[in-house]
Amino acid sequence: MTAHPDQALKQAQDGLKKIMVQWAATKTCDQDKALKLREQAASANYLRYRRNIPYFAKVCSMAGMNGDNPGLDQIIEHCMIPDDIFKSYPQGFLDDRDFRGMNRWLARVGDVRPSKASGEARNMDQWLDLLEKEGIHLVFSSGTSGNMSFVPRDESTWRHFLKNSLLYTPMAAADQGVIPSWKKLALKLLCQNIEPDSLLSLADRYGRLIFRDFDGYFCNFSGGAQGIQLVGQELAKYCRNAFFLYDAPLSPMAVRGVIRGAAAPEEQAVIDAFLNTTVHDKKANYHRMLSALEKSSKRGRKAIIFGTPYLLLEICQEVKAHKLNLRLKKGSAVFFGGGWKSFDGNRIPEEELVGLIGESLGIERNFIAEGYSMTEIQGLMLRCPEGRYHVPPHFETVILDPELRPMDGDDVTGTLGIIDPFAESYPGFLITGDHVRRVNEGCPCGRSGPAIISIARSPGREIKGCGGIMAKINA
Amino acid sequence: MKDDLREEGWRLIDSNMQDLCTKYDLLHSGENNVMRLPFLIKGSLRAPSRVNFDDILQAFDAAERVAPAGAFPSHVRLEKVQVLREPVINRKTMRPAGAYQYSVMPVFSPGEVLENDFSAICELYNTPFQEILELLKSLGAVFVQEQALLNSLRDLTIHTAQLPDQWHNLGFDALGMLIDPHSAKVMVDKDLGVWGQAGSRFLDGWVELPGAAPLPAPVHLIAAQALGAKAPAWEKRKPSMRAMPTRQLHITAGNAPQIPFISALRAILTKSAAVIKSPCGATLPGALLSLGLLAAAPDHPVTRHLSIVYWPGGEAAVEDAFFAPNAFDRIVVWGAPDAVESVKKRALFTKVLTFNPRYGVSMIGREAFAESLEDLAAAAAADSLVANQKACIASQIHYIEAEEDQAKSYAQALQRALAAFDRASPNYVDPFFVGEIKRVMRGVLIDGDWFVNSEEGRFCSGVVLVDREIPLSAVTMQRMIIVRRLDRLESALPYLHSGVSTVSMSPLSVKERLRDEIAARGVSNIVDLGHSGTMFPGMSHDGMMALSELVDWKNG
Repeated sequence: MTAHPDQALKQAQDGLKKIMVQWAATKTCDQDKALKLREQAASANYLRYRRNIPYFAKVCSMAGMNGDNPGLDQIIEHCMIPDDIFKSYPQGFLDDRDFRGMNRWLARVGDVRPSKASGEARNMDQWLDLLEKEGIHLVFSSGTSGNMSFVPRDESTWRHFLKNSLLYTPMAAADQGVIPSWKKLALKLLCQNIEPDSLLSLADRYGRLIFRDFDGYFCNFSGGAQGIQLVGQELAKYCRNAFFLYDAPLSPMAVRGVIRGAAAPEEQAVIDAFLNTTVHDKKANYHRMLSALEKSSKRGRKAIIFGTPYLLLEICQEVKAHKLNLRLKKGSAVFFGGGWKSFDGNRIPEEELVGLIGESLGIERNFIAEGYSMTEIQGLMLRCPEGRYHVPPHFETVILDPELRPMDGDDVTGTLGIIDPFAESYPGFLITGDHVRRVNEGCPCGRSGPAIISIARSPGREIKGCGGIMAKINA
Repeated sequence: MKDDLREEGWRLIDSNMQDLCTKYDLLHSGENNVMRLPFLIKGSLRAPSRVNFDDILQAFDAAERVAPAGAFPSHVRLEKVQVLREPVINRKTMRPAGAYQYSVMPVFSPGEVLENDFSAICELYNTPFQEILELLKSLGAVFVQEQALLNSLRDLTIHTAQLPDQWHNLGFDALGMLIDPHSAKVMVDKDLGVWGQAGSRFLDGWVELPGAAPLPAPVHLIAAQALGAKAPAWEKRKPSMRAMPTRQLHITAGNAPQIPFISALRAILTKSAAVIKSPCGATLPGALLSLGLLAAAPDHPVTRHLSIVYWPGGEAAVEDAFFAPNAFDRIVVWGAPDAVESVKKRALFTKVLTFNPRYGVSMIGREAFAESLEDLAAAAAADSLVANQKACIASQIHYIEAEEDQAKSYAQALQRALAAFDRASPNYVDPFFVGEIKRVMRGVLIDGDWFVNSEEGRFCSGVVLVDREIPLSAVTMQRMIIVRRLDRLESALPYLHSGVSTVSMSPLSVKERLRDEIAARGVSNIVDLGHSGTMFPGMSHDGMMALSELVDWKNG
């Protein structure tokens, strides 16, 4: 590589954005060119990460990776980072509210340099707010053990995180008929004739035109930097009216405290408020939302409903139990995200839910869409009517065997790894916790490129003996 | 004849295991790596039906097609048999060879093994304990006599053994020790011993308790006042007690292959009618015990009331019947948290003994570093490698009170000790755990100092030195030891709880200073460094005198 890594990265990202847009508009793209650009971005990021992210440099050093141009194969073999790295901080830092310690950790796991001021935060919520003001956006996920992960994004990565999906999801929605055909045509023309960044600027300014027919209903919190909440919050910006099930920000302090217990009275108050909203007032919140949905319906407005399958199931069950007559306007849509597990760990029966949505809300099957993503990546994979989650061309997906070695093939099952060229402020060579089957063949829906068919969380071997020791304990 | 019995054990040996194996075509690797394993169904041998290998392959293909992503179907049921498959491991490279060993087993229905005829069971319950010891003696004699068969089975099963060769071989060698009648007697006499009497007496019948002083209930005092001479003479009661055998279900685990054997032995020693579930991955010990008992004492009440079977965990057709009220008096569950939890939830009316998933740790005080570092590391490594670090008592985390440079030297010495183990007994690391170790190294413990022994880039063993709290999910139990440096050893105390089975400690002064608090926090074994793996007959297990929990204590 001759160009400066930052320039090479920018060049590759610009190229990939164009390909994303092309793929959105035509359902196909130049896969070879996309691969070359992804390789270019990976090489540039490798150098940037190694120079600026101490923990990534350590991984390279442990693997004996000292060269400056290792190639994608070498990166995949030796430098993929498990998503656990984003919870590699000592839990004691959060227990003791040692945010200076957390800042030191952030500076090792990411290419961010928090100020001393944010280290003086009194609690976790304030810490996140102070970092946000410094241009460091921490996206968190809860973790069943209360060991939260924090993914640090700088302004550039944050913009990619919020905007990348806009380059292809509206067209995918249009393909499913959610957007009227004249808007689809206009969108397609725009995709084919203007630069991606201009498209995003237009989306910023006029995006509401696309979804102005819709009232948005979001089964999540109106604020808070957790992955699924952020998708809802972002989508809400483009709807005419936005209604949140929980009209309050999601407090990370509450999320952790609910599992690990309150460390201080102030924390207990936040936990109590969280539990009041989500447990005590749950039914009242459902009915508030249902009553608003009813109004949309009476006004003849279309609705777009977003949430996890679990919450949507409960809401539909509530409609059915109270025999509410909610027939939403034709063209109304449901968008799922966040996985198919319920709180007790069982899988939500998909067919049952789809049937219930039709029965209780009057939404047709082809207006039900789903996205697959994770906190650590810049983009999402939309499920097509054929049941495949199509991998957008900016992601290099890798399927890893149990030893975490890459496997080749057009139909392979294993742990999903993703090389994300747009992760600039943290290592974007990620090993996820998901087990997937990936195919690479033409899809009957017409979209090209690799797609993911099935997703499971963990291997299901019969556990022997003391192998499954207590995952929630620290030592 | 009676004298002969005493000489040889419970009865004269007139059949042998090899004959049974030959007659029923059992326990040898036939074509296509298929081995046929028998069940014991209340004293009767049940051999599996014949099955076509293609049908086995097709069944596994079908199971794989419907299995969730990432799942590895290890069990299938055909019409009249069930089959387990285990990956074959190349013993030279200690890596998966890409082939499978298939164990074909019969099927059974729950009704066949449940015990509801109490008059028949009482024959077992009233069998003198001495005869149990003689049975063990006979069994021991059979195992000695059948050494050639045992050797061939040891060599056959080593192909799928996840334990290193030496551990696997020593497991076979230990069979005789496990059923040693002298140890068995000590175990029963100490475990069930109360009121200063030997436990075996309580097992054999009602034992009067000479020092027991009965106390009256208020009713007796009122009656004495109201009825005068006609009052019940409660003072005349001579209290007695009996350790009544029970009907037991043992759901065993395979992290150490001796566990099914030990669990069955507890049922035998308490003269109980029992069903033993062999674990996936260690079905051979159950089959060996079945054949051994049939060769040694086919008509013994123990044999006639013992069943040793397998079913895949969670199979409702079996478990609904087994967990129903009054199906068993005791259910013993070893193993994974979800298995233990599932049984506890479903067997609400039966007393459930759980040998929960636990782990061991070591605590080393500053003074210990005054001695030889190599000796210290050798003792600590031995504590970690109990059952190749898979036992519940194996030390996973070493808390050390040391300066940074001392801690580093200790970690390096530990690495050298592990390397010596690797040379003497090459480790097998399952591919899943190869991945897990990579995850831990590059993920949650990225900030640790790693001291790894590897061969051709592949992890064999290692030490990671950290100076902070770690999530227990980082424990991989594959000859990977986490060393946590502390300024004060007492800082480790908050991390000790009932999930910690064993703490091995050095030096002695530190053990004496801290052991009461450690015990109060729920730890079961507090021993000197280097002794985590040692045992003695009559010791407690997970805070219980296990045999005492398996019998039903009766008052007379």
